[in-house]
Amino acid sequence: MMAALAVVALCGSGCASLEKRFGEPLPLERFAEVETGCHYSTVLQRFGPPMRMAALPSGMAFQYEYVRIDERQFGMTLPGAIGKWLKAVFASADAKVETMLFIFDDEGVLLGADPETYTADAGAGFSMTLIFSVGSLTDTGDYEASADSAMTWGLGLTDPLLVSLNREQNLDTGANGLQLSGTPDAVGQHTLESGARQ
Amino acid sequence: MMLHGHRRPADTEYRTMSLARWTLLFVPIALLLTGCVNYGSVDGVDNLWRQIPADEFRPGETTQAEVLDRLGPPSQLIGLQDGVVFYYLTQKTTGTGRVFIVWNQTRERSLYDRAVFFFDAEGVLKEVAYSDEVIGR
Repeated sequence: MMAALAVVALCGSGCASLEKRFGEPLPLERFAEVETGCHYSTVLQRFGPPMRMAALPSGMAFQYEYVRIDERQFGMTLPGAIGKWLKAVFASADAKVETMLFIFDDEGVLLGADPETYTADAGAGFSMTLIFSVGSLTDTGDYEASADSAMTWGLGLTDPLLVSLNREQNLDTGANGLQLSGTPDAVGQHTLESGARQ
Repeated sequence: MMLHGHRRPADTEYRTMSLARWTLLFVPIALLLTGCVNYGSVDGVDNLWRQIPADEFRPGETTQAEVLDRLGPPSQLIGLQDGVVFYYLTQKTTGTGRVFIVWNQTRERSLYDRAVFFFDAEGVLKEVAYSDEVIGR
């Protein structure tokens, strides 16, 4: 009887898998074909337009990025009468990031480049839901602002005061540099905006 | 002990009946509670560049005006020290979801179809490139 109840509790709670992919996996195996000193046209031919690019005081930078977020949710039926209507859900998420960065001088000559692949803990969450539901419980917004971030540049006009005051160092304008997805605002050039972004 | 021995067949039959009833009740409910969903959206400019081979834009000849005429306004204008970059971007997001009682799954995928044009200070094309990611028109 207890075993049956345990099975019913597990089945009644359920689990979920949520996957988000931004872009296509990068051809990192072709990175070795590009050498320092080559022209930016070589990079364009090998990898196409960058996901992000920025003008720099002495040249420009290309950034290519692929992000895959995997969120796992595990449900548990609560004991007692409340368990008929509510279930507890624990979620955790990982973000796999592939990125390549190319920095060019004002003649378009490659000064430096580097590929990187890493998996980051994208967070965890806990919720109480009615019977069952499928929705993200983790905050993975930092990883989801991939190439489409440029579409929202105009939204900068509505930024909070601290962000506006830090405009000259802002990394979202395409004129001051780039940063990897998932970089916290509490460090680096966004430090002065810490706490202003919600 | 003998009493237990006599009751076993009846208990087993009762449990089998009970299990059958629960199964008959559970399966239709499970089927009613399952579902699936598909969704999608396209953002950004219309990817007109997919109708035009990249080699039709000739470095040293094609001007900004010609690119604007054929492709329309770019998603981004990026100012460099010695020229301007036109960056065209189309984003397509598709998602599927499968909702069962025991196991649920959602999959979401975003693709970025891109074209980039580098111009010199005189507005003449220097470089052009299309992305390998293609969104069908």
